[in-house]
Amino acid sequence: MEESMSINRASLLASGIGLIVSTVASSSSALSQVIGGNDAFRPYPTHGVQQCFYELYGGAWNSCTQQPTVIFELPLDESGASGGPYDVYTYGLNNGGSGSFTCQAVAVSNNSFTGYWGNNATITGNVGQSGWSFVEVPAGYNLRLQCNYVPLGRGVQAIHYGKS
Amino acid sequence: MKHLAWIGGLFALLLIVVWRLMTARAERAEAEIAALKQQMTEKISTRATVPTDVPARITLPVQHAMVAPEPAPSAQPADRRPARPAGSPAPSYEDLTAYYQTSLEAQSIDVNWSRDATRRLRGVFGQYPAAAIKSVECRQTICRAELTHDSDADARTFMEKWQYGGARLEWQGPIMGGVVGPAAGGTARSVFYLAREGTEFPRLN
Repeated sequence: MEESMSINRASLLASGIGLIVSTVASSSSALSQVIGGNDAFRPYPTHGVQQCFYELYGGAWNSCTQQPTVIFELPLDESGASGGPYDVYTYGLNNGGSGSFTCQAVAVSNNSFTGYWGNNATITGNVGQSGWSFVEVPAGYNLRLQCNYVPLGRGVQAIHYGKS
Repeated sequence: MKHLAWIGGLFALLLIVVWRLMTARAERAEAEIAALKQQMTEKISTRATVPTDVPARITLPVQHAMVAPEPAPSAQPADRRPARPAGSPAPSYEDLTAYYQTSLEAQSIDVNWSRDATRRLRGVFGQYPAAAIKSVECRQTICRAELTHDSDADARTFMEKWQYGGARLEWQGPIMGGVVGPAAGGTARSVFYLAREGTEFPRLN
């Protein structure tokens, strides 16, 4: 009985959060692409702190006291020589953490040591709070989101992005 | 059990209502921002505009006139050029940097901000041992910094650390730049454009 009650509680909570996430997605129709925080992230510059990140309802949160930097690869609409202005909104995640961190949209080249680093967006992890970063992606460059020094218990729930 | 289901359902409903309220507030804020941007566009259109129909770097008469400090612009400088047709290729890295250089040269100087930004940028770039500062110039909303590196290896080392964050994060505004190629005597050179905090680079449509 106890076990069944706890399962029901968990499933109700999960459905509640699922509804929130779907509402977030539907309310940002101008942004063409959505990616979950746990999709396509990697610690930067090495994978040494990979074990620090755990999945929570599609998001990724840091379970280590050290504050790693993570990068999310954001596929562009078109392939090949694409680019242009992009808006990137980052929704934070709070799993018992405190403090804020910054994320910025970045356009990088695989062929040269050049890039475009967008404005720093502050992410608090409060429900519904998002941070905006703008980036101009030159033709042939890739789009990323770089979140710097993520505190313990904080993370990224979802990323919404699209052409500006 | 039923009580728990009801409580859970009510909790989910409450969260949705709270979220919807926050979304509505955000939409109102976006509308206000759009109105402010429109106001900025109208104000800026009365100032001198930067010619934009030049694909490559051009030389404009440099305005050296010192003007009284102005408050930080709250939005990016807008222009009246038609938007790029859908499907046309995005500007290249070279297009963008040439445009930012042209825009910088067309700006007058906000003395206080220029002095402060130059000092802060020297502090930022000075933290990278693999780079030496050749010049830093700031005007109204854009700065340009040029660095030299003793070798290609030093340039790569610098960029790896630069990309990671560290001192770069001390500058909150947008940044574009990087290694521009080898220089004389086996050295290398980097050029960066940095937009004032709270502003964007002018858009190249």
